[in-house]
Amino acid sequence: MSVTEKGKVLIETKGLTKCYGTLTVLDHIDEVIRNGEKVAIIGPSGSGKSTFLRCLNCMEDPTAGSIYFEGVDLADMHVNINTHREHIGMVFQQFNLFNNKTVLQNIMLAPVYVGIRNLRRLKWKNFWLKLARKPLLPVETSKAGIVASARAKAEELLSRIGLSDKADKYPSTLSGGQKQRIAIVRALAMNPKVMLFDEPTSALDPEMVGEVLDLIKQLATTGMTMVIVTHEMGFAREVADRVLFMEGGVIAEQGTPDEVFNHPKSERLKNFLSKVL
Amino acid sequence: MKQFFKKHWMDILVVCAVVGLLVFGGIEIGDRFSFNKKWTVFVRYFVKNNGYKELLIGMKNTALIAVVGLAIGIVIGTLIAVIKVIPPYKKPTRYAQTVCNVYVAFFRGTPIVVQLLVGYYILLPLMGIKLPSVWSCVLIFGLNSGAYISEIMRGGINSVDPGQMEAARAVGLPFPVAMLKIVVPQAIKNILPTLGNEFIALIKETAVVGYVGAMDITKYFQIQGDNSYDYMIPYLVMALFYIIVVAAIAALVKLMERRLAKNERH
Ligand SMILES: Nc1ncnc2c1ncn2[C@@H]1O[C@H](COP(=O)(O)OP(=O)(O)OP(=O)(O)O)[C@@H](O)[C@H]1O
Ligand SMILES: [Mg+2]
Repeated sequence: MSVTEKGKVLIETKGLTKCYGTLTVLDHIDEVIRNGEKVAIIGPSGSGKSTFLRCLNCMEDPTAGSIYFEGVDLADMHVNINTHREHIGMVFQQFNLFNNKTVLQNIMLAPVYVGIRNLRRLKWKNFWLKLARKPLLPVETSKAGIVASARAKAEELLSRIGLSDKADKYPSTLSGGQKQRIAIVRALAMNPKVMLFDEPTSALDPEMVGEVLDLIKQLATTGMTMVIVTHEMGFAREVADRVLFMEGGVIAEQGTPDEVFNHPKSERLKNFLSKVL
Repeated sequence: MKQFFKKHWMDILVVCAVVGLLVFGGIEIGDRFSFNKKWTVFVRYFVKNNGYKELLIGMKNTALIAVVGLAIGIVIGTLIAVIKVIPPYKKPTRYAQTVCNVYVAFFRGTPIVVQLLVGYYILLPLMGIKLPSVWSCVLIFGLNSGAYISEIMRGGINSVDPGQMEAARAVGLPFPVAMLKIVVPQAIKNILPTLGNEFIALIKETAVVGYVGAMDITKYFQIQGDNSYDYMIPYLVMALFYIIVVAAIAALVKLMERRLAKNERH
């Protein structure tokens, strides 16, 4: 990431509101996430952390308000959400690896799909240009080329997390920690601009938490923008540039890890910290 | 193999008992009705008058209607099931879902014979479509099983962890692609045994295609009976025929079920 880009607004929510029936889960949230930032979200259960995160890539459609991703309002129904989701990686508490695909196929699926779709669009454009007798756009890849480069990238990512030998295994044969690391790598294969994590270690056995947190920390050092919902306060303190404390559908308090954890201002945050620390 | 017998001795016993009952019961009663003479007549019509050739045609047609019907049913059923699970936010979705509901209600709410008669003698001619009666049956059985399979498939889709769809959408796959590549394959794996049973039901239901003049196994034995003025032997053999075919397929389905169960464990 170039230095000039760093600090540029990447995601901005304006009046983000989400209701389930009469229950208001998110209440007019205005928040900005900048390039390169690592934001941790903490808060009691049911405070809307997951819902907020899932609204950022419109996995949940907001009831009201806007979510600007690189200036485009994702909440607008006319926006093709799929082309924007490609740039937003998401990691789930329950891993959600595709059970009917091998590890390698899990990682390659989306890059190959997107590559071939883009190729098809390019060829379609060229078809019209040809009819109009205008110069054609250069076609630099082929289907085989797209698959080959996706495979190369997937293999490189797998070797980076030391799981090359699992490439042709199915997810059901893996441990929780392995599954989650592969899920992270699957998201990375799309070269996302931001990674969203929803309690990535909550479903893991204690002895596997470390390997997943290490991978996320390592990712943090590469300058990746990250938003992490977590119950691991030590991890939040270590990795985050900024900590958001959510309660009752609003961001009740926020600041640097030092401000939030060592000098909490509101009673509610003090109360919460006294329970979890 | 030994294990197979150990597990399925009950099924095998039942099949043997039924077959025995049919054969010996048939012969016992048959003696009173001059079985031997009738058997000779049956064999003569079957072998000497090349009846077996027509039986082969009948078998081919039964298989064709059941297999291609099932294939059409799976395609239609999957399509309907997918349409039914789309979140109904947009108007076109709701219209499509209404159409699907009417379709399913129609095909599940009327007897297959009625569908064959209405389709073959009224609707297809009205639409100007000229099909041989066998292919009309293929089409109508396909449409019919599509309605039943759509319900089975919907259950299969609902049995797949919603996280699979979420993850697929999160990496940027559009809904139809996520459905086709991730959810439906897992759904089909879950419902394979049920689909096997649907196939068996379909084979048995094809016995009515004679109503629209298609030549299937049932129709063949009927004709044989008509020609030889004796229905006892042809109909007994016909029943035997079906039970063997159905038992064979049921065994295959069981085998498949166990294979799948094994795969689950790892
Ligand atoms: N699909 C839904 N339908 C109805 N209510 C929902 C739905 N999803 C979430 N909620 C409600 O919204 C509120 C916030 O949920 P959310 O999952 O965002 O909380 P959270 O902060 O992530 O909690 P946790 O720490 O337990 O994961 C909860 O009260 C929950 O019951
Ligand atoms: Mg949550």
